[in-house]
Amino acid sequence: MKTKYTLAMLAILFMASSCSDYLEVPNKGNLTNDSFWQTEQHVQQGLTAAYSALASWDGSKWTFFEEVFLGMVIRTDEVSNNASSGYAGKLASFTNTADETTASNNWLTRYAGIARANQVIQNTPNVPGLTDELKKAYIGEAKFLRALNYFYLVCSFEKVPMVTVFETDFEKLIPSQAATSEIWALIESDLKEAEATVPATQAEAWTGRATKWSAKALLGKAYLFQEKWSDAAAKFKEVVEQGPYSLLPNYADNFNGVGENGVESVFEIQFSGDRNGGVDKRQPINWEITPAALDGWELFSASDWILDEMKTDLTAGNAYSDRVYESLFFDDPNSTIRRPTETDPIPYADVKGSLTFPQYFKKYNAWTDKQGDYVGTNVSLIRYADVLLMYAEALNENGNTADAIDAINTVRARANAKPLDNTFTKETLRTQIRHHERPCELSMEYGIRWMDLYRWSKGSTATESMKTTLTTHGKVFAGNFVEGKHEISPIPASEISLNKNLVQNDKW
Amino acid sequence: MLLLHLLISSTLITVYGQGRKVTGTVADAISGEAMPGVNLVIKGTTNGTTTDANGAFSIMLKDEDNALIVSFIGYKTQEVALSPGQTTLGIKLEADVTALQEVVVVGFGTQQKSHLTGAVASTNMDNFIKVPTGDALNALQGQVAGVSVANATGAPGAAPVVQIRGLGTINGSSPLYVIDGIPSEPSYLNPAEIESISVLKDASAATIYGARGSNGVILITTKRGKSGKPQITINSFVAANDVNLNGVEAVNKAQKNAIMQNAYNNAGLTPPTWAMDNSQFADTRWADAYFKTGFEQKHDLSIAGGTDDVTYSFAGGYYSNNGTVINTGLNRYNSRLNLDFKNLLHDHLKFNLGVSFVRKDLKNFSEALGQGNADFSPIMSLYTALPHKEIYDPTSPNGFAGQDPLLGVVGAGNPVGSQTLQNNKNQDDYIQLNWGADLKLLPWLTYQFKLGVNSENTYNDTFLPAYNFGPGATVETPRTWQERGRTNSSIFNNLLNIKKEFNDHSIAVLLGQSSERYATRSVGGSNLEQPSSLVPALDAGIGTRNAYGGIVENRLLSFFGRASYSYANKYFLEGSVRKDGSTRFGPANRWGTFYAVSGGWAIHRERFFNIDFISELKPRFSYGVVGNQSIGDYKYQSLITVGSSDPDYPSAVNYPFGTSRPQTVATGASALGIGTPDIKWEQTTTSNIGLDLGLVENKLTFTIDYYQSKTEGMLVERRPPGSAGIQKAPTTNAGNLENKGLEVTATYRNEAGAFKYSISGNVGTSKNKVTRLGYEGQEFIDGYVEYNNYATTRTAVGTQVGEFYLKEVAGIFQTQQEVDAYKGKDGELLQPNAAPGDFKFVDINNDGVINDKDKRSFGSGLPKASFGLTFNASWKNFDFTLMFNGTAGNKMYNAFKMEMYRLNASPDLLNSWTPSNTSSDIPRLNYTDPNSNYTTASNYFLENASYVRLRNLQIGYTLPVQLAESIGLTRLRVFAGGYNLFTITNYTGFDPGLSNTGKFSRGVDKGFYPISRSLVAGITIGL
Repeated sequence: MKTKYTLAMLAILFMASSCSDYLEVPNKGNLTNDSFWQTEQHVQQGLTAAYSALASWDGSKWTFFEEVFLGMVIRTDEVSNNASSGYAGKLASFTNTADETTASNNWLTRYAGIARANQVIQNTPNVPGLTDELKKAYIGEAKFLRALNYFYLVCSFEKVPMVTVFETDFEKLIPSQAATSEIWALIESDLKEAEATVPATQAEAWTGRATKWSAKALLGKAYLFQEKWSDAAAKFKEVVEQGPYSLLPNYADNFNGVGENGVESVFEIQFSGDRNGGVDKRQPINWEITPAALDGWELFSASDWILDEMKTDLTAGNAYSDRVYESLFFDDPNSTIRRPTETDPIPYADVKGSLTFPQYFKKYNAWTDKQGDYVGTNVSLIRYADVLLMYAEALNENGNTADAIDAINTVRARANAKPLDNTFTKETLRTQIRHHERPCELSMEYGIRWMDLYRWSKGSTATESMKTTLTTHGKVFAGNFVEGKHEISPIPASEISLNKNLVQNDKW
Repeated sequence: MLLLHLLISSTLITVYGQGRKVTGTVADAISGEAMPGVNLVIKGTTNGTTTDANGAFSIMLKDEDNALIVSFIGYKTQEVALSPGQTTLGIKLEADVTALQEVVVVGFGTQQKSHLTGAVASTNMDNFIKVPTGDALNALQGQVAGVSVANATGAPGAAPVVQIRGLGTINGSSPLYVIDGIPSEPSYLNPAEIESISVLKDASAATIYGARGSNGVILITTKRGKSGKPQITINSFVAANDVNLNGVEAVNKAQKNAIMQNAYNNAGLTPPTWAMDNSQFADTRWADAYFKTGFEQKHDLSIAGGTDDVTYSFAGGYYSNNGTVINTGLNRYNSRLNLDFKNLLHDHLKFNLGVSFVRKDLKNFSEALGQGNADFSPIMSLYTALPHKEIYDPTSPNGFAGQDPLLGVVGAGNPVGSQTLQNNKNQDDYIQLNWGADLKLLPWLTYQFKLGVNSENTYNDTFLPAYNFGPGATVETPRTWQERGRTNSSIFNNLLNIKKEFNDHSIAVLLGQSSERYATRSVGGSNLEQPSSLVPALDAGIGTRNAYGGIVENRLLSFFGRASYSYANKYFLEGSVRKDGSTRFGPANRWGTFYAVSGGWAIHRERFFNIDFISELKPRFSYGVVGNQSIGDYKYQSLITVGSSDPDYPSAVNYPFGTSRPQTVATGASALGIGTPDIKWEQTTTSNIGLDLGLVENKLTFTIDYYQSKTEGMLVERRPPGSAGIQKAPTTNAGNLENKGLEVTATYRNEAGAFKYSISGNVGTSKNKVTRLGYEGQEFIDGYVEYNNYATTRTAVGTQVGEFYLKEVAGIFQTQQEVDAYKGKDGELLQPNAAPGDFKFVDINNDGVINDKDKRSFGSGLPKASFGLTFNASWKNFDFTLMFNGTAGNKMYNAFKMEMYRLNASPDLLNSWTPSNTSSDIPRLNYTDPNSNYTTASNYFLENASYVRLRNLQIGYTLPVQLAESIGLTRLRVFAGGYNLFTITNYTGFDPGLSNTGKFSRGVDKGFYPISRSLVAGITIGL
C-alpha cells in the first residue's frame, strides 16, 4: 500500500517536471526581428515609421512643437519670447545649459528617424518578392529621410556621431563623433542616391512621401549650406525648370491646409486629425502661438524687428503685401486672427486692449482639419517659394544677380509685393535676401530662420556675427549670446552621461 | 488491516472497568505557585481533566492506567508515573524556554523560532492588528526591523512601497508575497484574515524561493479553525480622516497680488491688471473645496471552530475609505473560507482548502485628464490656481466656473471642477483558490501537494464629460475608455518532507518541485466622442471606435531542497538549494541555481554556560545566493512595434499619407528597442551574522543582524544613447551593487502587579553603493522636476542609487559689489545675470563658469535608518498602545516648493529678499527670474526629511469576563485612538513619509496626496 502511494507520488512529480517544453511560451503580442521584414507591406510600414519620426521621436505632439519646433524658432530675431512662459525660456535668453530639453529632444528625434531609416536600408535587400528597382526606390527614400535628419543634426550640433547601421548589440551603441565634413558627405551621397532611385511621383494614397524632386531640392539646400554655389544653383535650376512645382496662387494656403501637399509643397511633415486606433498625429500650433487674450498659450510672439521689416514689404499701391497680413497679427485695421477653437476672424482692434504683446504670428492659425482641440495641418519643411529664394541666393553668390532678382520677384509677385528693381548689387541683394526676402516669406517656418542665421554667420560670405545680427535686430537677450557658443546647441548632457566617447562642443 | 487494528485497540480500552480516584495539585516548579488550567490526560487515552483555580484536580483512573501526561503552555510536558494504588499526587511543572518560543512560518514549512539560523522576523500580530487600516502592508509599517513601508501617496487604495533591507538592486525591489504558500497579490488582503506574517530577509531563508528571493519574501498565513465550539468574533472600527498638509498654505488674493506686483515691477514689467486691485475678483481657497473630512470604516466578522475531523474558519470583511479628496474612495469586500479535513485514510491524509473572493471598488485619484503635460500631482493645481477665480457658477451647465475672461489664460482651469467631473473608477476582483494535501507515507516521510489558482480581474472605467474650463482644461466632447484585464496564475507544488529524530540528532529534509504560470490578457475600448455627457457606454459612441488588448504569459519551473540538522537543540545547520527555469530569459540563460548555508549555536544551552542573567545567547550565520527576475517578459527578444500596439508610444510609428481630409493615418512598424538575448539572472550574494539574545528570563530580548550583500548583473532597463535612435530602454545585466546594514530588535516585557507592559523597538539601517553601471563612466540621470526639465539625481559607480546631484547655493548676494566680485579663475563674472537678492551658485569644478557640470552629491532619498517603537501596557481591564515610526538620514527634494516659488504661488514669497529685508533666505521676487533661482535644481530645495510619527495611539477597555458572559458575550473590548496623529520633522513639504515610487527619484516630492490624520473608535465582540 505504501509503495503504491510512493509510486503515485513519484509519478506526479515526474509528470510535472518532465515537460521539457514547459518553458517555451510563444510571444503572442509582438512580431520580432525574425518574423518581420518578409513582405513589401513590412517595408512600407518600416518606412512609415521612419517618416513618423519627422515630427518627434516619441510621437507626441508636445515634443514636436514645444521641444523640437520651439527649440529652432525661439532663438531667432523674428521671435520675441514670452518671459512668463516656462517653455524654452533659458534657450530664448541664451542662458541654456546642456541639460536644456529642446536640444535633447531635437537629438532624439533626428536619431530616431535615422535608426528607422537604417532599418529599412539594411533589411529591404533581403525581403523576398520585390524587384530590384522597387528595393532601390524604398532604400533611396529611406536615405532621403536619413539625409534630412543629418542635415538638421549637423546644423544644430555640428559634431555628431555618424550612425549608418541599426546596431542591435547594446555594447556597441556608443559611437564617437564624426567630422562635420563626413556628415555633409553622407548627406550628399544619400541624396544623390535618392534623386536617382525615388520615383518622381508617389501614388495618391501615399501622397506626402518624398519624391526624386524633394531629394533634389534638399540636395540643393545641402550644397547651399556648404557654400557650393554653382552646385546649388544647378540643382535648384533643375528643380525650378524641370520639377513639378509652382507657387500656390494664395500665400495663406500654405498654412491653412488648403495647399497641403499641393503644387508648392516640396516636403512637409504630415499631420492629420484621423484618430483611428487611438493614434494622435495632430499638432497644437493653433493653441501654442495664439494670444492669451484669445485663449491661446502665446509661447512666443513676433518681434518688433520682423514687424518693422514686414512693413516694408509693400504692394504696388504701397499697401502691405499678402505675406504681411498672413504672417502676422498686428495693429492694423485689416489684421485678423482666430481663436484656437473658432473659425471667425477676429480683428486686431477687438482685442487690442487685452493683448500681452503688440504682435503675434498667425501662420497655421487657420485650419481645414481639426479634430477635438488640435489640428491636422501639415507643417512645411521645404516649399517651392523657399526653393526659388535659395536658387536666387545661389545665383547671386555665383555672380548672377539679375537672374536672382527674377527668382525673388516670382516669389514676391505671388504675395502681391511689388517687384525689386535692378539697382541691387551682389552685396545689397545678399542683405535683401538674408534680412528681408527670406524672413518675410518664410517667417517662423520650421527652423528655416535659425538655420539661415547659423550658416550666414559661419561661411566665407559671412558679413557679421550672429550676435551682431541679433543685437541689430533688437533681440532682447542678445547680450547673453556668447560668440562661438550659442550658434549651435550643446551635445545634450543626458547623451554625454550615457556615452563617454562624446566630446562636448566648445564653450559648452 | 490498519483499520482492524485500530478497532481492536479501541475496543480493548472500553471493555475493562474497575477504577480509582486520584486527586492532587499542580504547581510551578520554581515559584511553587498553584497552576490553574493545567491539562492532565491519562496516558494512552484521550480522557483527562484540568486543574481548577487552586491548581487542584481529581480524576478517575482504571487499574491499567499507569501514567498521566501533564501539559501546560510554556511548560515542559511531564509524564507522571502512577504506582498502583496511589491516590494523591503533587506535580511540579518546569517552565520550558523552548516552548515559550513561537513557531515561525518559513518557506514551505514551519520552524521553531529557537531553531532558526537565518534572518527571519515574525510580526507581532497583537501590535499588527491594532493598526486601524484596511491595508495589510500599511499595518506592517514600523513593525519589523529592516522592513520599510512608505506610502507613495495618501490616496485610498494606493499601494505602499515596501522594501526589505533597503535597496539591494536597482531592478524591481519589492519583496515576494506568498499567501498560504501561493505567490499572491497582497493589496487585496484583509488584515483581519491574517494569522501570521514572517519576513524572510537573508539568503538562507529566501533561497527556497530562489529566483524571486533577493528582495526578501513576506510569508502571510491566514487564519484556520481549531476544533471546538464556533467562535464568532466581530471587529469594527470607524475613523474620521483629515488630510495633513503640514501647514503648507496657498496664497490668498491679496498675497498673490502683492507678490505679482513686486515680481513684475522688479522685472521691469507692468503687472497684469487683475493683480492691481484687491477689491476685484473672488478670493477662493481651492483647498477648502478640494479636501474634505474622510470617513473610514472597517467591519469584520469571523466564525471559526470545528470537530477533530474538520475545522473551519470564515472571515468576511467590509472596508471603506471615502478619501480626503472629493470624488475619491475605496470600498472593499473580503470573504475567505479555510477548511481543514483531518484524519482521512486512517489518519494518513489531511486535506485543506482555502477560498477567497475580494472585490475592490476604487475611485482613482489620477492626473486631471484632458490637460497638457502636467508633471505634478493634481494637488499642485490647487496651490497654483488663482484665488481670484470662482469655483462655482450656477449658470454653467455643470455648475463650475469656466475661464474668467478678465483673468486671461491664467484664469483657465478649475481643479475642483475637473476633479469632481472626471470619472476614473476601477472595479477589481481577486479570487484565490488553494487546495493542499498532506499524505503521511511513512512515520518520517510526508508527501504534500499544493495547488493554487489566483485570478485577478481588473476593470477600469474612465469617462470624461465635456467641460470647458479654458485653454488646457477643456474636454470638447464626452469621452470614454473602458478596459478589462485578467491575470490568471496557477502554481502546483509537490513536496516531500522527511523528519527523523534519534538520540539528540534531528534531521529534516524537504524536496520540492514547483511549476507556475501567469497569463495576463486585457481588452479595452475607447471613444473620444460620446453623444452626451450622460451616456458613457461605448456602444453609444459616435466618434471613431478604438479597441485594444494584450496577451502576456510567463512561466517558472523550479526544483528545490532544504536539509536541516540540529544536535541537542544546541547546534543548528541548514542548507538549501533551488534551481529555477524562467521564460523571461533566452534559452541559453534560462536556468539559474541558488543556494544558501547557515548555522546557529545555542550557547545558553551548553553546560559550561552559567551566566544567570543571560537566558538566551544564540549566534547565527548565513551565506547564500538568491536571484531576481522582476523584469518584463520577452525582453530577450528583438521586438517590432507595429502601429499603436505599444502603450508607451501609441503614436510613434504611424504616419498620415494621402489626400483625404483628414489624411488617413498609415500603420508604421519599427524596432523601437533592441532585444538583449544574453540577459541572465540577477544574483545577490548575502552574508548575514545574527545574534539572538535574551536577558533576565527573556524579559529583555534582542535580535541583532548585520548583513552585507553584493548584487551582480542587476537587470536594468538601460537607456541607450540617443544616437541609437531607439525609444525603449533594453534590459541588460547592467550593474553591480553593494548593500549593507544592521538591524536590531529589542523587546522588554515586565509586569508589576496588575500593570503589565512591554516596549519593543526596531531599527534597520542600510546603505548601498553602485560598483558597476552600464558602459564605463555611464551615469543614470533622473529625478526630473518641472516638466522633465531639471534632473535632481544621479546614479553612477561609487554613488548610492538615486543620489541627489545638485548645484550648490552659497547664500544670497546682498549687494551688487558682491555680484561683481564673484569671479572665476580668469576673472570673468560667474553670474552676469545676477542681482542683489539672487542665489550665489558655487562654481564647484572651479572652471570659471557656472553650468551643469557644477553639481555635487547631497545624499539620498533613501533613509539611513528606519525605526519603529511600540509601547504596550495593560492595567486590569485597560490596555494601551503607543506606536511610533520614522526614518533618519533621508533627504527630500521639495520640487513642489520649487514650482510654487517659480509660479509666484507661495505665501513664503511675501518674505522674500528685498533691500530692506536682507536676512531672508528666499531670493528676490523677479517675474523673469534671470538668475534662474527657481529653475535650477539646487540644494536650496533639498531638505532633511527625517521624521518621527505617532503612527498609532490606542486605549482599550475589555469588559470583565463575568460581566461579558452575563450579557451573552465571551468578550467585549472597546477602543479609541488616533492614527498618524502627529509627525515631528523639519521637512516643509506635505509629508516626509511619502516616497516617490521611482527608484532613481525616491525623495523627489512633487506634492503627492498626503496621508491623513485619523481619529478612530472601535469595538471587538466575541460571541
